[in-house]
Amino acid sequence: MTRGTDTPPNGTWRGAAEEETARRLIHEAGPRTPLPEEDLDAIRAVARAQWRERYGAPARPAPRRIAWMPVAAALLATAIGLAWWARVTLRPSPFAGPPAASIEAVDGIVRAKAGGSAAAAVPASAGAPIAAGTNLETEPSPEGPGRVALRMGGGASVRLDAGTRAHIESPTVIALARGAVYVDTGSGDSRGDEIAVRLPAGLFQGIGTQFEVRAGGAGAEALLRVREGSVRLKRGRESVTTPAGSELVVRGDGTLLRRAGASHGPEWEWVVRTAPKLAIEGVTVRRFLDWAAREAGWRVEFADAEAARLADTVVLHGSIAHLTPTEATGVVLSSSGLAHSVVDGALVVGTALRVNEAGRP
Amino acid sequence: MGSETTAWPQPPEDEGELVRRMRAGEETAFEMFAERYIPGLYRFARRRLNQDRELTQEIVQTTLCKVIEKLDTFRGEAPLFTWLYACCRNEIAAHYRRKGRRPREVELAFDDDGGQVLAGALSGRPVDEAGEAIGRAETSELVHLALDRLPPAHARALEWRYVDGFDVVEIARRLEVSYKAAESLLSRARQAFRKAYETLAVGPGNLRVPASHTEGGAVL
Repeated sequence: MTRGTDTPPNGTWRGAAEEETARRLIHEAGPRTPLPEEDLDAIRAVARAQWRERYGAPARPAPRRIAWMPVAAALLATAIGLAWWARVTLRPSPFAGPPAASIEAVDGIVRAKAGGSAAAAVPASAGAPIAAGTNLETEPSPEGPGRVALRMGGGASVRLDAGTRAHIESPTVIALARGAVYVDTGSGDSRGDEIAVRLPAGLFQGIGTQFEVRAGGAGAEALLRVREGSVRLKRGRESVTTPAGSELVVRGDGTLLRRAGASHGPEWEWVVRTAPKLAIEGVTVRRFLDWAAREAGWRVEFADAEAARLADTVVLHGSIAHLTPTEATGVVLSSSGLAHSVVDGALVVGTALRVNEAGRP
Repeated sequence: MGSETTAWPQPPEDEGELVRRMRAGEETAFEMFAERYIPGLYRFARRRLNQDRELTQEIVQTTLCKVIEKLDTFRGEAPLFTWLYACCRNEIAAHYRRKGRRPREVELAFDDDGGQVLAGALSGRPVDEAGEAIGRAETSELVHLALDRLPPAHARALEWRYVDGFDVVEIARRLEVSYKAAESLLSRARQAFRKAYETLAVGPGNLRVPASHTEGGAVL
């Protein structure tokens, strides 16, 4: 069995290599889940009681109390505090003002800057609100690409690929200067507000959809790829609608080219990797499959009735926080006693025996 | 500004000395022990107990009580955490023995921290893919446990730098120290992380668990 990231061999933890090794390990491990303080406090209290009983430590002396404080010193401290607070809070910040979106996940280096502000861009981190008028920029370096997933105010999921510069105009409009943006307005009850992406080439308006718009590249001014629903390109009085399974190329000379496009495959890999994680605790395999298939661009097919029954009845516990939707599919299905294969964009799920014997139904 | 402002007590490098002071009834020694070892032990147990908070609390408390009771027997020949984690593993194994096999229909694949829980259940996956995922999860667990063993300011600074991507200027601002002090803190944090990680991963009593050690599908 192979190991993903293993212990570095002896001698590789020196100087710049030490920093790189630490960076790689810690970055790939991701953030630690916060531990519940009340649980730790309770454990500490029990352990302390046991320790005191066994080793007879005296009770902790009461902390010394300061009886009084000179009024002048208190006033001075208050004044300094207020001055600091004013300096910090009055600084233009992309995280201040009415939020148009919030950051769901950050991978690599992503910077945010309030539009029109002379202040330096600041690193963006998960959970931060993003005000309307904010510019977001993701690291373009292939060695350490930055990507970010946003949850727009209206509920849609938006992701920015590496090397992207985007301006969040409002909860429903994003201006793209370079790079690529992916939009998923969701489905069913969780459908969010439609999102429009503005480029010099025109305004791309989603209609119940999953789509990607990429600025420039390969001789084109813009490339639109539609996975679900449709997208309307408006430029001047012209309006062109592109349906799911199609791509629209806006050439530098303004001419349009429409062609068939895949809804899954390597070109969507960055979208899959940037997908916000599903909390699987207590959800059925069916619900998990709907999520994974939507992210990967698959359609789900059951090879047999038993597999469909299991998908509806097996309840998942735990987390897939460190896995992509495609990686999690293998883990969850095999853990649930189900086999799967992906054929021509179809995720075929069956009981192990039948799928192994028959391959694809 | 200008100097590191962490009030976290630095535990002695010599764990034998820490244990000696605990046995002598020194309150500060116990607090150091609690700060340094309880969070990691909790994280270690929780991922092996299906994220069950109540059960994790119970198992960790039992482990600590037993370890404290036997502090006199600690000789310092192996790291203290090795002893703690071994006791914790025993408590978890005993729990599962008392309970019997975990419910068949409840399938926990990976926990919050990426820790592998049901290695046996992965057998249906392509070997390389499953192996890579498990390897990543296992490494993530070791990284998180290593970070838990650092002073909180050091662990936080490393995560700001390498998970959140903050630059040194931002970290200095957050820690309210000078740029140079932040650089120095990061350097010391990396060294401490390296030491902690190496101890957990390859040192005596490392935590890597061979696949043959799985019991009832659960890594104990």
